[in-house]
Amino acid sequence: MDDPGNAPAGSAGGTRWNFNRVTALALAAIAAALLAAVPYQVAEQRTAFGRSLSGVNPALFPRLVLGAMLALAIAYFFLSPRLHEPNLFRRVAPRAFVDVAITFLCLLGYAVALPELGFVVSGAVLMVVLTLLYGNRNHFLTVATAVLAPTAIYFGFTRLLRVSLPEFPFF
Amino acid sequence: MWDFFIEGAQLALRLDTFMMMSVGLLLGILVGALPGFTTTMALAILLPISFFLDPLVGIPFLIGITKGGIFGGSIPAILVSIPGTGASVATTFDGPALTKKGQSRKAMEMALFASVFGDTASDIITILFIAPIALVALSFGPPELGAIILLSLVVISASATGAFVKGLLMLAIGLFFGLVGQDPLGGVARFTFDFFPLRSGIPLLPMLIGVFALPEVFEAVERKTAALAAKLPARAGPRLTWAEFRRCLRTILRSTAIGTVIGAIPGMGQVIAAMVGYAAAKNASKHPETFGKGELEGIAAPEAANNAVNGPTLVPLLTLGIPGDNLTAILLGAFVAHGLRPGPQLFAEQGAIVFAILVAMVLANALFLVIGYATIPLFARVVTIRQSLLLPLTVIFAMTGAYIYQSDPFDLIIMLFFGVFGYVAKKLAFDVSPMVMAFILGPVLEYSLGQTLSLAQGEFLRFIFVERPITAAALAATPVVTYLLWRRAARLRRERAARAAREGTPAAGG
Repeated sequence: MDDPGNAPAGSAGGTRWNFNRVTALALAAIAAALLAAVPYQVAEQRTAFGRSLSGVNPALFPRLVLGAMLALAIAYFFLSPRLHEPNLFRRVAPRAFVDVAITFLCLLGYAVALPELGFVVSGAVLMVVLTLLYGNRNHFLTVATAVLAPTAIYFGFTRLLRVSLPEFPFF
Repeated sequence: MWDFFIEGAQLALRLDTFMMMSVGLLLGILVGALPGFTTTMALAILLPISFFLDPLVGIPFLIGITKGGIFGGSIPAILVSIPGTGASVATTFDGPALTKKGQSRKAMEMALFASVFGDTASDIITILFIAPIALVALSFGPPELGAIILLSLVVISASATGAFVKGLLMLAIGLFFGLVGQDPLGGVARFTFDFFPLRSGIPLLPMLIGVFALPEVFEAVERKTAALAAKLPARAGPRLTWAEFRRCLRTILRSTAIGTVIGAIPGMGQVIAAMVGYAAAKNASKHPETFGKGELEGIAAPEAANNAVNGPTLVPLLTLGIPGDNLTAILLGAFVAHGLRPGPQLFAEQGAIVFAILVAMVLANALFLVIGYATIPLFARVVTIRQSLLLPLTVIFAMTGAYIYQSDPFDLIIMLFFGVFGYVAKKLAFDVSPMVMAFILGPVLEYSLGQTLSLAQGEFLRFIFVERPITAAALAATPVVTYLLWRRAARLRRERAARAAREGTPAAGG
C-alpha cells in the first residue's frame, strides 16, 4: 500500500516495469511453487488409534502463510509502478561487485575449510586474505594479527569459556 | 506484605550479595558482547556456581548476569552491527550509523543509561504492583498471546522502512522461514527438502548474525577505497550530554512502559519488547525519517524496552511458578535448587527472601550503571582499529559466533545464505526487521493458534468473541492500528516529497 500522491506527475502508472515489478513476479512464483509443494514437503500427521496427536493439521499454517505471501506478492506487483525507490544495485560499481563476490567466496571457503584445517589455521588464512584484499600493506601487522587474533580467540573460547572449536593436529 | 518488604530489604544489604552481583553483571556484559553467546547460555553455564552460594547471593548473581547480558548484546550491535543477543537486533538499526558518524561512545552510553532507567523503573513497578501483574499474567492464555503477537508483527511491519506491502511481504517470508524444520504442535518435518541438517530448523543466531552483520561487511567492501582513505577517529567520539538524554526521556519512558507490559506476559520476552519499543518510538517521532540513520532515540527505545522486561518477567515465575521464557526457566531451576518453590505459596512461606531478591534487583541497577560505564571506554576503542584489520576481525568473530551456537559447520552456510539475503534485501529496499521478528515469533504464533483451535472445539468465532474479550479486542485493533499507521506513513512520505520538490532535491525512498 503506497500513497498515490507519491507518483510523479504524468507517470504512466500500472504499466511501467521496474525492479519492484520483477521482484514481485519472482516472489509470487516462489510462493506459488511452495504452496504447490505443501503436500510433498509437509509430513503426514502423526496419529494414534486413528486420531491425530496434535489436533491441528500441520499443513494449515504453511498454507495460510504461503497463501498470504502469494496475495501480498500479487498486490506488490500491482502497486510497484507507484514505488519510486532506487535500485541500489545500479549504484554499485562493477569492481565493487567483484570485491563483494571475492569476499563471499573467501567466507565460503573458510566455512568449508574450518572443520578440516581447524580454527586457528583457517582463521589465520582468512585474516591474511581479507586483510590484503582490503588494502593493508603493512605485512608485519597482517601476519601478526592473522596469527595472534585467531589464537587468542581459540584459547579464550576453549579454555576460559569451555566452548569447543575445531582443532588442528597441533592445536 | 509490608513487613516482608522491610525484612527483605534488610536481608538484601549484604556485601557478598553486592560483590557477586557485580561479578554477574561483568560476566553478563562480556558474554553478551560476544556474538554467538546468548544470555541464556551464560546463565546455563554459570548456574552451577550459584548452587554453592547462599540463595540471597546466588540468585542475585544470576540476575546480574541477565541484566549485564542484555546490555552487553548492544555493544557489538552498535560497533560492528552484530547483535550480541536477539534482544539487541533493533539496536543495529541506528547503532552502526552512529558509529560511522564517530559517535559510538555516545551510542553505548545512551544504551547503558536507557537500559538502567528501564530496568530500575520496571523493578520498582514490579515490587509495588506484583499482585495485579500476576492477575494480568494469569488472564493471558494461548488466544491472547497469539492475538498480541499478530498485532505486534503488523505494527513492526508498518513501522519498517519502505513500502508497507514490502514490510508485510518480509513478514510472510519470515513466517515461512520459521516453518522450516519441525512443526511446534506435532513435531512433523516441514520444508526440509530431504536435507537432514534442516530437520532441526534454521538456527536463530547464525541467521541474525548473517542478516545483520554480513551486509554491513559487504557494503564496507564496496566502499573499500573510500574506507581506506578515510581518516580514523582519534578517539571513540564525544560523550552523551544531559541535553541529549533529556531529549530522549519521553521515548525512554514510553519504552519502559512497553517493556514492563510485555514482560508481564509469559512468552513474549526481550526481543518483542525491543522491536515494539523501537516501532513505537519511530511512529511517535516528529522526524521518523531520521530513524535508521543514526538517531539516538533509535538506541534509547529498544534498550529501555528490553531491560524493562527483566522485573515483570519474574512475576509469573514468582507468583504462579510459570517461567515466561528460557531465562526465567533457568532461574526457576535456581530457585528450586535453593529450596524456594515459586508459586502462589511462595510469598506466604518465604516472603522476606522473595522481597530481598526483588530489592537486590533494584540495587543491582546502581552497580549496573557503574560497571557498564567503566567498560564502555574499553569497547569504544574498537572503532579506532583501522578498517582493513577491523573488518576481517569482525568477520572472524561473526563466523565464530555462528559456529559455537551449535558447534555445527552447517550453521556457517546458513549464516552466509542469510548474509546474501540481507544484502540483496537492502539493495532492493526491503527492511529485514519484519522478517526477523516473524521468524522468531512464527512458531509461537502457530503454537498459540493450534492451542486456540483445540480449546475452541470447532466454534472458533464464538470462542474468541464471546469467551476471550482480550483476544477479540486485540484482533479488532489490528486492522485499525494498521490503517492508522499506514495513513501516517503515507502522509509523512507526501510531506517529504513536497519538501524535496521545494528544495529541488530527490526525496528519500520509503
